[in-house]
Amino acid sequence: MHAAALNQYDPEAGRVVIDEHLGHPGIEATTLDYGQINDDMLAMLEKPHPSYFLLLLGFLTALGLGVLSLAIQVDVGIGYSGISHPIMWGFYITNFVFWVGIGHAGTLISAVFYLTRAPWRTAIYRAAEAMTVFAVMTAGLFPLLHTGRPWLAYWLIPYPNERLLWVNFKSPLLWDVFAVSTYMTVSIMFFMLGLIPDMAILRDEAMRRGQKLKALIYAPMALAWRGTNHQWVHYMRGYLIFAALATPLVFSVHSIVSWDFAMSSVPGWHTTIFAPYFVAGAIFSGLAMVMTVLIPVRVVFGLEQYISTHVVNSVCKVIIFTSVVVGYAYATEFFIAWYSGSPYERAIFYFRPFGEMTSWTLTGDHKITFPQIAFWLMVFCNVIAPIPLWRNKVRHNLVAVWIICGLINVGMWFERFNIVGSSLQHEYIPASWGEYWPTIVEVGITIGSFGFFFTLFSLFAKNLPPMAIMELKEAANPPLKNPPKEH
Amino acid sequence: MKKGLSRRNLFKYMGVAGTTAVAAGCEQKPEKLIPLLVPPTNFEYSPSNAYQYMTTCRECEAACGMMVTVRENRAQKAEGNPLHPLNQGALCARGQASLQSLYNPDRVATPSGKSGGLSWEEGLKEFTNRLSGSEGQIVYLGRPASGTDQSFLEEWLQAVGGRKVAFDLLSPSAAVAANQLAFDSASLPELKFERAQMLVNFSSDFMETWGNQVENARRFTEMHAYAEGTRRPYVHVGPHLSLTGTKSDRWMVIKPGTEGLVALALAHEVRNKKGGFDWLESYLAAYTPDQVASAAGVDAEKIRELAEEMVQHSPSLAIGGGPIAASESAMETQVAINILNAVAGNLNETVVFSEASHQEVASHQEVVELVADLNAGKVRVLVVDDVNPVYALPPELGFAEAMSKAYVVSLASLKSETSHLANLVLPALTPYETWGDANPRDGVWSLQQPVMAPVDMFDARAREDILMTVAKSLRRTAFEGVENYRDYLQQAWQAIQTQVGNTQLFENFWIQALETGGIFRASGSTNVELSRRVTQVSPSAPSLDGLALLVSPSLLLGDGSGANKPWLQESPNPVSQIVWDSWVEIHPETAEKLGIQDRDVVEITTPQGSLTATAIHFYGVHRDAISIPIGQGHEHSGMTADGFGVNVMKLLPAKLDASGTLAFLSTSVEVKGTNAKGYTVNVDGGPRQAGRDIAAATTVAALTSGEKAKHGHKRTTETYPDRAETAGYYKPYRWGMTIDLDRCNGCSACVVACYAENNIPVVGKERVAIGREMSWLRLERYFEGYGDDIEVRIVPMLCQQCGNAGCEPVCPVYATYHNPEGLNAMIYNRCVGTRYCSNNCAYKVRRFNWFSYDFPAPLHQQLNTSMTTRDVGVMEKCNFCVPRLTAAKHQAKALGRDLRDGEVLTACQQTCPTQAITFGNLADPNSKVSQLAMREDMDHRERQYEVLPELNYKPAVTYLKKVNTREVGGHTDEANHA
Amino acid sequence: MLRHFPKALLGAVLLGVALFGSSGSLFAKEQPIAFSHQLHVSQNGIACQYCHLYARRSYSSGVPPVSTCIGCHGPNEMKVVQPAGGSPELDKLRDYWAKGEPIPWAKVHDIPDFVRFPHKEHINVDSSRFVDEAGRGCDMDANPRSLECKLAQFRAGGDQRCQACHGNVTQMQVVVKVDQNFGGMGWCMECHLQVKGAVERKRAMNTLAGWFNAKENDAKREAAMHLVDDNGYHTPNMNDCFTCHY
Repeated sequence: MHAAALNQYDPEAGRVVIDEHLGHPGIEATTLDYGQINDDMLAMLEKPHPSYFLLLLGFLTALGLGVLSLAIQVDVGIGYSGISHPIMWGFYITNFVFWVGIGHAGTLISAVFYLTRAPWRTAIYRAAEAMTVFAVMTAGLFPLLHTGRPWLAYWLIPYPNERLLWVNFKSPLLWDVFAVSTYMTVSIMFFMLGLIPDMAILRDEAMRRGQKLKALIYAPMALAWRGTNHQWVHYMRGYLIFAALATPLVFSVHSIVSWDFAMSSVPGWHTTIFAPYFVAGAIFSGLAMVMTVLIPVRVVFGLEQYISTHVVNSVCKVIIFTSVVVGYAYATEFFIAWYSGSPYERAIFYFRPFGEMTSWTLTGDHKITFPQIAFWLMVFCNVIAPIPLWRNKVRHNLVAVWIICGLINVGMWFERFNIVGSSLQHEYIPASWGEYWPTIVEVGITIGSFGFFFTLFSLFAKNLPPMAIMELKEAANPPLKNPPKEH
Repeated sequence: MKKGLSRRNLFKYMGVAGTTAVAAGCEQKPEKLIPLLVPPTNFEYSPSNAYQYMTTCRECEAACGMMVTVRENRAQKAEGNPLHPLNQGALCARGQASLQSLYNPDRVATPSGKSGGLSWEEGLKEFTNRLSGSEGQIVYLGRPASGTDQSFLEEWLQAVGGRKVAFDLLSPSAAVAANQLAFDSASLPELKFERAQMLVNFSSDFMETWGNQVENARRFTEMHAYAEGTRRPYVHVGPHLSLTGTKSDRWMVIKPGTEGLVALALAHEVRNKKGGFDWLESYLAAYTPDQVASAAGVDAEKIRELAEEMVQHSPSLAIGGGPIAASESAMETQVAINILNAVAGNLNETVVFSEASHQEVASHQEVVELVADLNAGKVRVLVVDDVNPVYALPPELGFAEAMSKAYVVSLASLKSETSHLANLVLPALTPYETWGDANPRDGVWSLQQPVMAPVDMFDARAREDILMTVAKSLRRTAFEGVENYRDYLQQAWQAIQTQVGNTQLFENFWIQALETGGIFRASGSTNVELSRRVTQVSPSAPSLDGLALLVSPSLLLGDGSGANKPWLQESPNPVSQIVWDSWVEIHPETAEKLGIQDRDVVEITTPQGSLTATAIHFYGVHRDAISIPIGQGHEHSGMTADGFGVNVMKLLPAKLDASGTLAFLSTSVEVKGTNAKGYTVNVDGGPRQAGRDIAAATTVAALTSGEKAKHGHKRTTETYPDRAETAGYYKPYRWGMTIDLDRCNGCSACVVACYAENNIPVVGKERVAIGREMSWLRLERYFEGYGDDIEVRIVPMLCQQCGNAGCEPVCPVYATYHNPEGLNAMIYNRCVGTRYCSNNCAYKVRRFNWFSYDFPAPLHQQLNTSMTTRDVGVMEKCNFCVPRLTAAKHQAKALGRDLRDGEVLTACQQTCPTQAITFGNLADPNSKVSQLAMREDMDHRERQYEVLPELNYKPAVTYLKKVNTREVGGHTDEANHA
Repeated sequence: MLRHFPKALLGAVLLGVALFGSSGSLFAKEQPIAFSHQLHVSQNGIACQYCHLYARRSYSSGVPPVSTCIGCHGPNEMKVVQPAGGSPELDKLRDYWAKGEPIPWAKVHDIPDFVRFPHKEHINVDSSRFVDEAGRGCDMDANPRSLECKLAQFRAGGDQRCQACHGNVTQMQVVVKVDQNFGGMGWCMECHLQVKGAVERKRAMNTLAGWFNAKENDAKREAAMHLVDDNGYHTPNMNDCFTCHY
């Protein structure tokens, strides 16, 4: 709507002439007319190019690998993984935290930026929302499959039972159950709500083309949307409410996830900074993931006008900000470890970057283990790598942005591991210090989780409008009495 | 490391774990109820109730009294017989694990010949035929006989016409010979540690395999433990710091094999100060400290100081022996020690001889002669009874080859290298299933009775009965009037009854003996004095160029007979913390010279042979020596023994000392480093505690100067009131424990006892390597100081049953919670397996069932039926033996009263030889444990402390600091590091 | 009929779940010998513990040794307790005895292996540990398996106490589980919560209310808990998981 307000319609050109000085809505597409937008969007849902199936096959293979690994583990026992005494949590919880984090970007973009009226969100929020749903779905798997007896996981749900037993509300793990399930529900509903008008468009299109089956699928999701003024009023109100509901979740969910660690007494976990630290990290990684996914989409579908450099640019700015926050958090952790004077804290924060203190081992051999690799990767990818983004030129270079965002994803995954995995290796009792190396099963399941996520996303990209057609139109200039000439 | 398929079967790779667990969910098939055919009427029996039977442990020659707990007619737990004078209720790790020789899957199941399986008839027939017509050419090779066995074997050998050779690798024959020479008493004295003001130990491992380790440990602790502001010192003189040595207050490092010289130098000084024994003056003149100093590689001043100390603390006690000191002049060394004891006035004070010795002593000399006879074809039939010389003896002795020259009959309960080569193997029953007795000391007759019917999987017979049957079929007159060995035993005991002057009916006497586990009288003592013959012998330092090979006896595996017991393989060696393996201890400085990193694979070569093993850096071994433990490297002793570690005996030359004892210390080795890293598995994460005071120590000076413990003073503000202030908690019980680190000597008996009591699975080397061991109670070992100043601290770590635990609040399903009696309850069947509790346990004492582990038959028959055996996916940990608590509470309830102090002993406490562990009710201020823990009166605590008090977990386990006589260096700088 | 299919399916599923979820079906199990408790107990008045001889001494009540059966139905045809003309079932019994085999009875009352149920404690315990109301208002005819009646039977003691859990075995030709939920934790807790002070303990110890200003209320609470009986004996806490699971 800003677009319409700021820029004048030029009958000669038959379109709005963008005035750079008056400010830019960022999405050139908003200068197209409704028909154009409709066509572009629907074009994305046409019969896919064979390469798409090739891609999908790749993702499915990854997923298959994960399923296979999981099958082996369930059959042989959780012991088939590398986690052991004293490192009882490893890749699985790392993945859980990572994927929950990924989800947050979607909600941030669709809800928070909606409330703050950030115009550039329009082009990407649908995709981001979809990512949220898929990411949370992926994350949800891990707490289940990491337990010793997954078939009893339902005991974590408080329900009146014959055994007269209740759950322990003191346990952060239980808070997780509530946090994640709430988050799941809300983001799915928010997603579906946003889809309604577009579903109607697809339904009508399918009707027009006489594709019965498609229509049958889309119709129920459209909830008999006819686009009457009445419906619009309710729709907008509902959307606003949901946005307001989802916004606190962006901050609460990952805070609670962080308390899984902060509430414990493990040196390296037991710190008050975790909640904001995790939330910042979540948004950081989430936005990076959005970029990693959407930049290829833009190229493949030729959406330069929609996912414009301006959008990328804005996202990058948020990434820079969160990167700084995360970097600050790292620094603070070390400062507090030193400032606290607690030998255990100091030990673990010496251990993370440098490994075991030489004087501890009998005759001083210096051991470098997985945590050290994880730590330095984390620092490089999350603090060093994003620095180029400070430059405008880099932010407008899609390739650079894409590579950096990829690095950030890696870095954030290792940050999660650095927190989960390394702290447990050096706790209070030196005699029970341990080492952790993942086994093939854990790696397989981790790969599988990415396969799961991307499979879902690529299915989404071809079957649901990856962008909010309705909102794009909203942003575009309305159809006029004297329609512009055909172009 | 090769991984035999057999072992895979044993610790099975849980192909079915997950699936079975799932399947169990929808199990609908009815279980069967199998009734008894006829209920036992001759004794009280009801299922699932525990009954105790007294018997005797035969794992080593010490013959401790044993009390076996039997449920459902299955021996399920071995404990020390509290009435037995030697071990007084305690039992060592090997004694605890003796159950696994009863239920060992590798027991010999049926008689077999070289051609294959035989029936008993065939087997016995074959045996008889071989014996008949070879009188005079029959040799019986067995363990040193004790008690009725002696006369029985004599009678048998008479019947069949043969002679006996006793075999015991760690035989004390050198000491016996030395005593004969010095005191005219061919026996071993009773060592009265508790009377000694000071102990000087020359390399003997008296708390591991030397003598009766349980009794030694108890009496030593009685002397050594800190009490009333003093502690009587223990100085360890020798080239190697074994577990025993780690308890010493001072370690005098001397060159290998120079114990005798140092002893005489001490004698010289002591005699000069104390006077007397003038006839020794000229003899001792040759051994002044200055003369000895260079040979022993020790400062003469140190020797003088020690001598002075011995004079101050009189009577003192000097002991010595064991493989470390067993050079070619082992006997002379023993004589030297005898001289020292004499001049220091310890004779008949702390070293007390009894009139007669009833313990046969094996001499390796006889074995050497036997080999000669075998080679000369003088022996037609060799009966090997429950000994394993093929494995234990140095190959250079050529026993295996010689053995092949005769027809070898092996009476064996367990597989062994020797019976593998035997022509005829007859399965023998274990001591748990047979009758017998032992007479380990004058006045102590220890009775051994079958505590259960023989394990049904094996078609075995009592060794004595086998021999008897054969003898009877050879000679009609043999063993007249006795059907089986029990009759024979009872006859012998009728003699004993008259000997002890018991006049009642024999039946009653017999029942009484069975109930008390034997007849125990005070052992008579006789005064001896130093014979002048001693001046004839002169100990000499062995001429070993390069690195000497120190053969250290294994605390857990003994002479190797323990290797086929999973519990002993899985329990880490307390000093090296290594499991399932043997290793090479090498001094870091030496290693540096040779360029050998910690845990490098090294190749050890002697003229006799060479082997490769993993080297570990250890300050506790002399710079000019390396040390390798005995006991591993089996080839035919069963799936838990074969293929682990190396057999150090392969390196030894066949040299004997003057007394005909094998000279363990008689060769130097060549050590070559390879750049490969060894696959030895140790369970300790870090060898040093980084100044965290988990194993805290104080000094006598500090204690007497009135310094109070720093621990326990932390006052913290509470969010919630302490549970002690909450209705319903800790009334009437708040179970707690104290562990006295000054008494604990790390003998690991508690660890094995815990395995036995709580159905803890053994997981195998590959799993321990990644921290999957399941032990609920571990001995943490921390090094303090560096070089010769090294101190080893051992702290038993078990669930601390915290009053404000970390594990409880984080469990989402209340699978672990704080129980009204202060126990940190772990409810297996509620556990989902999130493992958060373990992450949040500061003491890291929780164990997780990564798989559903297998107890291969018949080991499963040992499982304690009074508690749940856990399956895959649940957490488990120490619960202060809650089944014992429950049983005791049921009994007390029947009497309508509460439990009294000392009515419940935990498995670890029960078996502790030094009574380092005290368990009881902290809510009762008068209970022993409260008295020791002093929780009510923190400000007057002396040694008491809780581990990691700053976390405010409020552990129920209070430790008592180890007391040192000196400050150990190298501690503070680490504190700064951390 | 197709339009009823969904309902039918749903019904089937629900039924399946119900059966599957139950801790064991109520249908009689196939027994090697058709032994009638009705005949032995109500007609011939043999007490439970004559055969189940370990009930008061041990954790398991003990299924009678074969010799106990043979004691009356001995192998020799003289003075043998049996219906005129013999009985094929008794012949089976004698066969087992002759072959020296135990009788492989099928277990009817089964509880999970992770539960430690001491028969002796339940046989020997003093029923005055129940709250006074326990067992009041039992109507045997209307609902013999109501909680009240179970408690009443338990309090009555003797053979009735056995029936509190096992049902009226005296009238059974073939033993079946009378309670669908036999051995389920809730089923056990029903009665354990009827013990004096059990509920009060639960409230005091398992809720935050019990923690806040515990000090002041301790005396009051502990009185309500019946922590100590008249002889100064501390009664065990029946809500403690360690009571049955260890």
